Amino acid sequence: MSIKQVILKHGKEEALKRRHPWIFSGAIFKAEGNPGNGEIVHVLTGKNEPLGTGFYSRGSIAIRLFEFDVVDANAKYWSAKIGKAIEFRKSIGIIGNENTNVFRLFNAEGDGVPGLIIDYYNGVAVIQCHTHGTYALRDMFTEALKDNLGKDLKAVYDKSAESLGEEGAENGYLYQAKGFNPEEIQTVKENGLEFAVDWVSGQKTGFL
Amino acid sequence: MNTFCYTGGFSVYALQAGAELVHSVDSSVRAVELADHNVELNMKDANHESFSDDVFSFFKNYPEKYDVIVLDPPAFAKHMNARHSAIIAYKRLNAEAFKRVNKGGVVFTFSCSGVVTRELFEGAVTAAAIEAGRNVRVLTRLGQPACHPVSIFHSEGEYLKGLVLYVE
Repeated sequence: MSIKQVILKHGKEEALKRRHPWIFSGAIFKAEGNPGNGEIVHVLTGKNEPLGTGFYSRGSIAIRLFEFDVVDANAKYWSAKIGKAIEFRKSIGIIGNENTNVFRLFNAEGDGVPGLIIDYYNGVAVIQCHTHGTYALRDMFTEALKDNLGKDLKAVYDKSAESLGEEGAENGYLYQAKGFNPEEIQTVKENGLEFAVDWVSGQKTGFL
Repeated sequence: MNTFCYTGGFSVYALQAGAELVHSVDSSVRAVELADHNVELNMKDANHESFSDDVFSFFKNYPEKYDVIVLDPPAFAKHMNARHSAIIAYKRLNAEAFKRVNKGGVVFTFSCSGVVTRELFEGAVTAAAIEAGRNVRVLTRLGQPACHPVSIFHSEGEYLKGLVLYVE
């Protein structure tokens, strides 16, 4: 399947030089092949210069870029993207801290993927997708988390139904490691204090 | 007093830091149970009372004054069209807190509404201080922790605004 191309109007590439990841619908000259809501597209200038890769949407924010280059967003790409967010948190002492095992593992634009939030609760990753584009890739993100976290991942729970506001989207586990018991109350540690967390019926992703 | 206490995070931290008595308020029965449970997880015999009540009616019906009040409500505005009413709600909530904090007390106030900018939020809190007739000084401005990084190129990513205020 070839990636559809979106061509921007002349001069509209200037905004992307400021590294803001959103492209508004008024900046688009042509969207080839009528991309669907959430579909990954390549963004180019009228002279065919590569600008970025992002999620197409039918709203006023027409494209949310996750890369300021034309890339093949395959499983390896997403695994590296999640891996980079984990490495960042290791480097600043959030991961590997014996007093805290609860943190935001992936923070949307702040980690380079608009619409994707992942919170980590002592081994359980809770994914919250805010866009169709990220929601369509939730199984891919689950695999990427498994690749990067190994035995430090006990389960992945999808909590996108409310944030997506889409009929038919249902919350539920995308992965459960052997021995994980979803009925058990899960307790996390923050600055040495303990907190019971409920991502199934709690607000937001459960705590953060 | 910890309003909109949810899992009771601020209550646990306050008790750990030596608060003599903490009141936790949340309209959700489930949240109050979770807050109680989390206090018990960390300390025995903590002086903690929880109330499953609407925060505004709690303020109305329970006239006690406090040394520290935490206001960390859920997002009042999730979309632009709710922004105006959200700002009015922030003003009302903060004015209630300013009326109920002891002289020399501290108010921790937050907004996690992405569409309400820091400037707008601080404007609402300022209006609340005027209405309450209290002298208020900013001790610290708070934002998102490091695990919620914001790209400097995408300021919309900064959704959490907080103020630590000294009230006379």
